Amino acid sequence: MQSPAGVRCAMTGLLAIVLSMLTMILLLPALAQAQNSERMETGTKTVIGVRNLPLKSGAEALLAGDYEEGVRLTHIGLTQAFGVREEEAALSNLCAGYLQLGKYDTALQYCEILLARNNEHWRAYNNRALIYMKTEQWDKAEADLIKGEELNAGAYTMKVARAMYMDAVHPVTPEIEIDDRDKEEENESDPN
Amino acid sequence: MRAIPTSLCMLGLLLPAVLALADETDLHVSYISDSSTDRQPTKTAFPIYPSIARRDRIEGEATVCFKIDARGKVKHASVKDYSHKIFRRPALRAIKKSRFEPLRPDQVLAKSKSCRIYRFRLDPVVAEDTDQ
Repeated sequence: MQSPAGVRCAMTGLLAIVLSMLTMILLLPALAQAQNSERMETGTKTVIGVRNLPLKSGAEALLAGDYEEGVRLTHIGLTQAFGVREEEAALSNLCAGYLQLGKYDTALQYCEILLARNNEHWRAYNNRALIYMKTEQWDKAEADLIKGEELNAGAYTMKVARAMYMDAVHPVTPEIEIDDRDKEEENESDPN
Repeated sequence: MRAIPTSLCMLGLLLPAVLALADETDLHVSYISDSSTDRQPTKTAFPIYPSIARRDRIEGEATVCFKIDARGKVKHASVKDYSHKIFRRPALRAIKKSRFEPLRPDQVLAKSKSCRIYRFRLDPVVAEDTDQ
């Protein structure tokens, strides 16, 4: 026969086991849900890139210099666009693609559609400025450059576009002056 | 070949003024010296105008100081001063490629170290008058 202390000890041990099992049972769905939600979240992130494959492939083709194919795929991508971001990306890429193809009127249409939807899209201003430069509408190009720079002054493409504008409108010739006159004596005699 | 800018011609201290044309066809290079220089250059390398500086319309200068060994080679070149860091590297590269007259056996230099200033400028291109 067990002593009361032994019974208490056995009861405590049993209670601890039951509690730990209960905790596991309660936590399992929560853990599973967390894993699922993570998977879903990861899945969602993955889906963004793959969901609109034509848009992605179109962008790649444009970057590779295959503008005809890039524009064709981007048109398909636009029809399958999910959400504002994808639509704007497609419109921006169509503007850039037609610009590269030399179809300035069509390029302008897509840039303007995009700017009508989002007047803070700096890439659209950048691309439209390039269209205006190609068609020698310098005042309009300057206005778009200013607007684009207000929205994203640090962008490399904005700097390149600005340089193209400056070279066309305010061309400069670099000059190097090599001065071998000795200034050291003046500096050395200067008490400060 | 283009003319030396008038601003340079105004300088009274100019002794030899040499106009050279670098590899880049649209790059003006001018050279200023005076009697304070006791070593004559035999080969003057021109710095390249940094493309980003040209793109962003950045002008400025860099002063490089260096020693010239007995054979006329540039030694211990370093950039002493500069208005924009973009001009440091081209100035240093140019001076390292430059050469000076070797020392004569009896020649004693007034100074052990020389300095050269490279000025990087962008001149507006003025449209030519087609009526004339």
